[in-house]
Amino acid sequence: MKKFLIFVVISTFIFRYISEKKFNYPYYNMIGYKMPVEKYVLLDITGIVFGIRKFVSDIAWIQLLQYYGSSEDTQECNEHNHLHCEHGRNYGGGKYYDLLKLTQRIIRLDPYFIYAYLYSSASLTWNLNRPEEGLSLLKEGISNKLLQRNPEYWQLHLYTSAIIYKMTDKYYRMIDILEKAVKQKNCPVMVKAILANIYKKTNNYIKSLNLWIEIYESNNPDYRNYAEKQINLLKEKIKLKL
Amino acid sequence: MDTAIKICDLTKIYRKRHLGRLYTNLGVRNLSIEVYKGEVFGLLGLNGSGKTTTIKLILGLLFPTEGSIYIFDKLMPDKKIMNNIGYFPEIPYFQRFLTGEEILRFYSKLSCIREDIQQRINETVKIVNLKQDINKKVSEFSKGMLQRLGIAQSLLHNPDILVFDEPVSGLDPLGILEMRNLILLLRSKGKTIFFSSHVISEVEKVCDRVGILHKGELIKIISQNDWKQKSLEQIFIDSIKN
Amino acid sequence: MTQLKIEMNQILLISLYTLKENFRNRTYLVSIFFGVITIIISILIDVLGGEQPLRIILDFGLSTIEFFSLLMIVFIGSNMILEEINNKTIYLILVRPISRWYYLVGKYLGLLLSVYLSIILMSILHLILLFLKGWKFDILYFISIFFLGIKIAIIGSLAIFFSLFSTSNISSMIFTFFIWILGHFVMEIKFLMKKLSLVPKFFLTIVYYIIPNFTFLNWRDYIGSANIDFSVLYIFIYSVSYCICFLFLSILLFQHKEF
Repeated sequence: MKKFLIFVVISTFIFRYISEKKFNYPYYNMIGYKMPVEKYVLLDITGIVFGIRKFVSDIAWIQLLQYYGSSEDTQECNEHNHLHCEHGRNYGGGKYYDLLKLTQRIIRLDPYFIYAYLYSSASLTWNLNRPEEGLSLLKEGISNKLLQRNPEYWQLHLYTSAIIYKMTDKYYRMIDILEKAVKQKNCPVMVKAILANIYKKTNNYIKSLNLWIEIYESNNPDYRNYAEKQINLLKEKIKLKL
Repeated sequence: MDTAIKICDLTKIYRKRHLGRLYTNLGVRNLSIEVYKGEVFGLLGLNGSGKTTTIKLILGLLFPTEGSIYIFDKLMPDKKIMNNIGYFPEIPYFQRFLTGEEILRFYSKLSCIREDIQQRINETVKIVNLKQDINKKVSEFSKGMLQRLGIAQSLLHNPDILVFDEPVSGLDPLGILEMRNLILLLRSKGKTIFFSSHVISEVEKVCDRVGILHKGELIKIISQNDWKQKSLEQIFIDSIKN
Repeated sequence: MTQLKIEMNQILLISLYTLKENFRNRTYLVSIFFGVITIIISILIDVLGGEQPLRIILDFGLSTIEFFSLLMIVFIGSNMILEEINNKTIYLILVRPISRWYYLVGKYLGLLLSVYLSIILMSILHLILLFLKGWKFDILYFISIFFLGIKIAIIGSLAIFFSLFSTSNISSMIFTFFIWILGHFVMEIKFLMKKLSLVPKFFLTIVYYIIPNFTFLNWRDYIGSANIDFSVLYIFIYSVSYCICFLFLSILLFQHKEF
């Protein structure tokens, strides 16, 4: 029996060695990585240590949405004399200085969470008017070799192009790129809203209306009411134009 | 006469390490006993004299420091021989989540009984008078019922040798009478019975020979003729005092 | 052949009775508790997760299945043999014509069966929820459940080993749980090894190879990575031989145990 045990122990080590040679760990180890948000470092390390980094990245995503979805300031709304009124909502606009760091936290835990790159880079560029931050996020994804075999990887290049065109005032080329982006299956609703707003600004009301109808029919609770208002507004504008 | 159990120069020293120090405790020393086929042999001794140690050494629950044990001339441990031994502990413990019948069925299958298991269970349950309560969960059994179940499981596989550890311990007078009658019945069927006790009155009623154990050593073996002349109690006390 | 059949039947008998014990001890209620928790949490997640509720339900569900399975295997594995020794029910089993190692292997298989049945139940509940939310079939889900099963088998063998080695169920649970954590931390240990000098590197390398490498088996975290091209066969053989190692060590300890 002891001989059999020695045999099993040796074969365990041999197969461990062979498995290690053939195994490509699909993440970078965390010791070399700086976790960008200090107050969540313990939670993030716990996630890695317990083998649930993807789940912790989901928690980080929820925390980002909570941060970005909550009102930035606590000042009273002067018009109606109460806090956080509907008139105070600016649908993504504002400062939200920590948005980049919170997104970096997500993508360092789970670099394959492509949606996070797209959502945050679009928010930073078009809602918060900080395209350089949006670009840095996409650049981090593009330079990550682990991501290159992901079938959604090419969208990072797509959004990069759109941002560069915005920065260089090549407005119409940017619209072309965004039109490609909104046709993708996992395109954030926010990006559709951004393009719809761009169409509206360039007086392309019909295309804007079509996009807002699409957003309305997606039943996204964050956008449904606003989409309904925009649809009514655009219908009026189209009637007037006619 | 053929030997059922042969114990040769058996020594058991308990060793325990605690905080780097070795503590030893004598179980039995230089024990030599021969139990013949078909006889009832009693092992008499005070509490802590080594009776249970001897029984556990026979059954393979403890390993001897020195010496050897033979069952039907086969050196122990021998798993096949265990099918020829029925053990009834001082306090029988059973899995509380099972019913009495499930316990007996479990042990029957473990003992590889060749006959019809249900028939064998029915026969054994009849012998120990447990028919009415056999389908109750063990957690609902009284002490007396547990004792009966303990005896039943020792008889299931129709063993040639029965090893009982303090069989009358904790029994009421009716229970003691039933146990005595059972031992006599088993002897009449040619079974070899080896049991330990410190209840002298019962030992002298059923045993053919008695071994007196004191502080781990066998002082003497006496036969029925010896205690017909002088009471077993007197012989026991004189042996212990000397 | 008859003797082999008898021996296999004994192992099967012990494992089936262990399974019965675990279910009569209400272990399966953990699975039902999980199901209820998942349903409640999924309602919350729908609101919090933005446009990614399916991803969150998938990750949350798989992590929770693993967490509950881990709790079960550590708790039951660390306690089951020690409990039988402490309440002496083991005596009447070991005096039967059954080798000690059959008993141990039977208990181990019964333990695995109990936890695997709970995993299957939890996975079914989880899959129903996923399909209701519009999830599309992905083979990686089932592969990750399969490798979770292998992780559980390794942890089970460790729990039994530690329970026999330490003779205390609390320390066994702590050691087992600690190894589970270290097993997920191996890539970081490997990174640290490169930074150390010769002597500490040598000792850390030994520790590195003794600890089971759970990153091989953590497929739950690789869903969506598209980088899964590692050789599954070697990982499977490594995992099985690791289980056998610790089961054998447990058998060696158990063979010399006195009662």
